[in-house]
Amino acid sequence: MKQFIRIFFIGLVLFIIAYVGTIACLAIVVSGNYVPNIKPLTARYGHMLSRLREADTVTHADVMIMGSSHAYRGFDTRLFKQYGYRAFNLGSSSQTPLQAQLLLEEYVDRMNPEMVILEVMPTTFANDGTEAAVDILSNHRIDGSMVELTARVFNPIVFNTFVYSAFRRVARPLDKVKESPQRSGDTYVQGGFVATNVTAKPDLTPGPKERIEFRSNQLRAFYGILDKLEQRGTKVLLVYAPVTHVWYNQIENADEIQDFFKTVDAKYGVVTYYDYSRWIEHNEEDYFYDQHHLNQKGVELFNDHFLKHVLQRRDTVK
Amino acid sequence: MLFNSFEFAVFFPLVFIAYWFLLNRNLRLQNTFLLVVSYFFYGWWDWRFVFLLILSTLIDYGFGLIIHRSEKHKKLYLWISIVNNLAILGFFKYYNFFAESVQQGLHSMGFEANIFLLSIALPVGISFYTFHGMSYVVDIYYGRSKPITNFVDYAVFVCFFPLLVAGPIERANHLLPQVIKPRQFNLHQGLDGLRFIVWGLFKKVVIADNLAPYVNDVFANYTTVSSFELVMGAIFFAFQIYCDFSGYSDIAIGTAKLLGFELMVNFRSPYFSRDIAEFWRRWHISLSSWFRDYLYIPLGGSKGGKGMAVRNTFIIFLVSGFWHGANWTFIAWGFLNALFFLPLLLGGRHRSNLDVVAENRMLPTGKELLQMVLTFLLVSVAWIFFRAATIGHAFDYIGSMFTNDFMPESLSRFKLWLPPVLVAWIIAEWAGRRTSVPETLGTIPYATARRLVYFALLMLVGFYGAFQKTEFIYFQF
Repeated sequence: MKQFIRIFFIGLVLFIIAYVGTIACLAIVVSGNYVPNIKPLTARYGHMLSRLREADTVTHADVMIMGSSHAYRGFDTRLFKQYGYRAFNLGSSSQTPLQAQLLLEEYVDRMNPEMVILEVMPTTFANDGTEAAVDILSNHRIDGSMVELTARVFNPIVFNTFVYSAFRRVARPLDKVKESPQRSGDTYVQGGFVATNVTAKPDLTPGPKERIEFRSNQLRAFYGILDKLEQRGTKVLLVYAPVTHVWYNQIENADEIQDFFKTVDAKYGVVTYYDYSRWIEHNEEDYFYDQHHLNQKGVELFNDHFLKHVLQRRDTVK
Repeated sequence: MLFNSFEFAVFFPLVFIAYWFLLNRNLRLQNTFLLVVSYFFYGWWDWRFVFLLILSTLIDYGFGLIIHRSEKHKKLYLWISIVNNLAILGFFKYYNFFAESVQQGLHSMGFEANIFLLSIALPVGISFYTFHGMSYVVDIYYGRSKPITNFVDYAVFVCFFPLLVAGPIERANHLLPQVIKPRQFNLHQGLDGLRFIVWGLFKKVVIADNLAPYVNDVFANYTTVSSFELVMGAIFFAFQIYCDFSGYSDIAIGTAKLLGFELMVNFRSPYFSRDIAEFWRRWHISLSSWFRDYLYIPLGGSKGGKGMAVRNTFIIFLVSGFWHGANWTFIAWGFLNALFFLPLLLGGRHRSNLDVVAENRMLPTGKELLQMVLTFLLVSVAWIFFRAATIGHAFDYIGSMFTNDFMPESLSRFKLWLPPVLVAWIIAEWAGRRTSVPETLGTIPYATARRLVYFALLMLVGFYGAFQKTEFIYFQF
């Protein structure tokens, strides 16, 4: 047995060295894009690099926005400004509660917002968080929070991307990377919003019905966010952003999900739930570019209503 | 709990440490521990089905003792036990199939009937542990083995977690002696176990799980994809199911080796078979031999002449198809295999390829190569029925191979890194055809060279493996 353990551990250590060394070579010498389980997304879609750079310079925001692409593409910080709010959008691609919690921990005390808009796309609660984790790992400085992020969504893709990013920073520091505000129809707007000029009509053909099962680790992170904000006395606006009726009706347990968010609203003194999911009732093709993302016209319509009837009136906010 | 999951990566080392370091001196404690962790492993999917597993185990354990002690009513008790096992299997696995078939049959005759359908999940591995239990009581009935008096030992034989959900389907006279005998850790067995695990993991996550999206896509869109892609879809499914299932078996064998057990070999390079009969001696060996020993031979085998051999061959292939699932597609798959087997049986050539292909040569002859390719193509045609949602789907799929445009518009479905990996895998399978690939890896002369191969396999797992928590195909059976 002793010999087995010795052989096993020597082999394991050598393998770890070889494995990490290979990723290091890929990071320093060539791009890792050719390896499916390394996903370097530095300065790619979603403008996460620009957003995090700007976030590091923000000292105060009245409103902090968290969530998935429905957040960073759905809440236009320019419109918030018109209504007198300094808003910062910390949404990221497929951001799940696991990542939202880490970003919140990092920025909430610095930005010290009066309220946090937490966009709640049900699918993100059923997601393992890989996509969002690699997006953040690729664009964030490598520090303790990134180690925690890797540990939280532990799988080979996230681990490889973490190691890759760590070595890549050595070969090419993040501050040397330039990100254009414009990319394939998207424009990064100060405050973290990404405006789209896509005008394509959405395909509104119904897909198969699917049940969305929330993951227990995502729920724990979600409650962790709410507990933290309740402790701080920060108001939380849970927002189910607009989606098309076709998309909404594909969710087999849509009612259960609504009930869940309503229960959360009732449970927390600082939380108010706003369901905008089927808010756009007519001419959906004019306001969406796919089944669940608003185009700029849709964003303006939605934000206008949200700012006027929710943020301005305040009487509905707890 | 899946073998390719993070949970198992935590579970197994803990079991290994407790088993060898804390309980090494006491066989009773080791077996009790194995039983508890096996129930835990099984309960990870759905703890409610642990009770069904315990019930099934208790029934067979009890009937084993009763049959052994009974003088007059042995046969009656044997049949009660078999009916019990089949009733459990039938209720959970086949009830809805029969109910729907009766309903459709009545509907086609102009009658409407509302037959109650069950909305229950299929307990994972039910076909495997039921067959374990059945082989145990049948062996006792025929005097091939003696009943075991200790329930824990018997329960470990049925529920041993490496083989619990997808086999290999063990026999009492092979596994039970290992359960009741004190086990010593053996270095070579342990290292062999690691090799089996690495190789199985590579086949599962690098090959099977990366082929799966392509195969799923092609089978779902068979009306619009090109003939070339349909052919590749069928071939890739043949690779996928082999790597998925044999990958599982290898991890099971490796895990068992690390705990001091030797499980049955389940696959011996089946795609290097020169005819269908040889294929069935090399594919899912533990099930094929189970059907041979517990169905084909009791039915008379080939003793009653060609007619009886043909009848019994069709019976075991059809039952084998039905064992895989409650769907006509599996029965059609079994029927096709029986049909492919028939010319060999009638010509008396079904046992003509008992050795390994190119036994003492590096490469096959042209004739052998042709035979292997033809056998593989026949097997792949049958796999289309196995994979299709309905028999109509399978026929349409095959029909589309001849009517759709030949070349694809783009290769976007295809992962370009996969072909070299597939070629390397086929070469490794060929090199390991005499014993097994993991054992062949162990014979590479230099330790550094061996390590490099293991590292390469593990790196492929880490860099190219698909980790979407896909279950093993055979779990559904």
